[in-house]
Amino acid sequence: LLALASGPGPAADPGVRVGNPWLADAPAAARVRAGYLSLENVSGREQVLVGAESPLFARVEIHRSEVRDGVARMSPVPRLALAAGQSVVFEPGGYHLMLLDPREALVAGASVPITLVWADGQRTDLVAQVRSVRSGAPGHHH
Amino acid sequence: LLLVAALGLAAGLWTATRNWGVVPAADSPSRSAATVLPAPKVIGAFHLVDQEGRAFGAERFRGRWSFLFFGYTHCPDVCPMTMATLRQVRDRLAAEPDLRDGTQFVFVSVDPERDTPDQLRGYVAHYGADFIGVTGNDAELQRLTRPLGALYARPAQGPGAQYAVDHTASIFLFEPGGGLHAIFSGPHQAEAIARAFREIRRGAS
Repeated sequence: LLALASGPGPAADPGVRVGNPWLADAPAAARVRAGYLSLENVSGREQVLVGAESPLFARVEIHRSEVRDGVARMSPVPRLALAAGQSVVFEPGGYHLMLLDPREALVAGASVPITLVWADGQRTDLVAQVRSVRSGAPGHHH
Repeated sequence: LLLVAALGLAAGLWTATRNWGVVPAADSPSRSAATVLPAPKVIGAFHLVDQEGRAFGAERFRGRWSFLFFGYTHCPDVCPMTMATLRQVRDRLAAEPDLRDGTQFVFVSVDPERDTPDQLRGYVAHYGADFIGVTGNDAELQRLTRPLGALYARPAQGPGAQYAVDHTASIFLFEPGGGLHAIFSGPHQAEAIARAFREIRRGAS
């Protein structure tokens, strides 16, 4: 579950630590899936997440869900800026990677390679595992 | 093109809640996850179809308890999370057959263009035989959402476009007479929902 810093070009490591990447288990019929992880900017300067890719999906976008006045809404997040030292958690009901049109069925336990793309062109490769969704946010589960 | 749905119902949601005079169950030992209505609210006729293409109307609530959730299958985050929570509720009731048997879980898609009965069949099958996927046209969907104070809104989109649908996040509980009995407004925790359901059932029997 460790994020592997790699990719072509110079300075491939943007200095953002990725923790606990996972994909929510979902029906095979679901054409859209959610990915979760935590990001910690240890680079000492601002880092801006501008996109993501996966060879197992046609497209990956960054989105944020929120429930306001009892209504669930989801909106795209084209740029997510992390100040130096800032951490952001992608979790159910909040920030998530939205992965569209899976190229194969992904059952619980499957591994999904994902690349995060940063504004300065750097890339972060990681592997997320498909896991069952727990009730509510993982950190608040008892 | 598809700008539909319960426009203006955001205000209606609040109004409806107020008019029901909803109060927490007085004898709850702890704060319940459920808001129980003073009396079941009767829902009028509506005509939807389930994942097998069978008619799904108010009569399908009768004779059993039903959890109901609005969503759409192209929803990556909130909907699978809520469905998984409902599956956990079901699993937590496994040792109490009097509670589990005769309880159904209804996923109502408010995105009928993409969520055909075929699509819904594959989706709900993932969660179990006691899960039902239902949809219909907007006029019929609103015959169900309006009395519940629920709402949804789809953006205007061309065919084939990727779009998100706003929808009420609450879980609704219907009693065997077919009336709305309680609302779980969330955030949804399986254990808290199962506990509240247990209290409702023990109190109701």
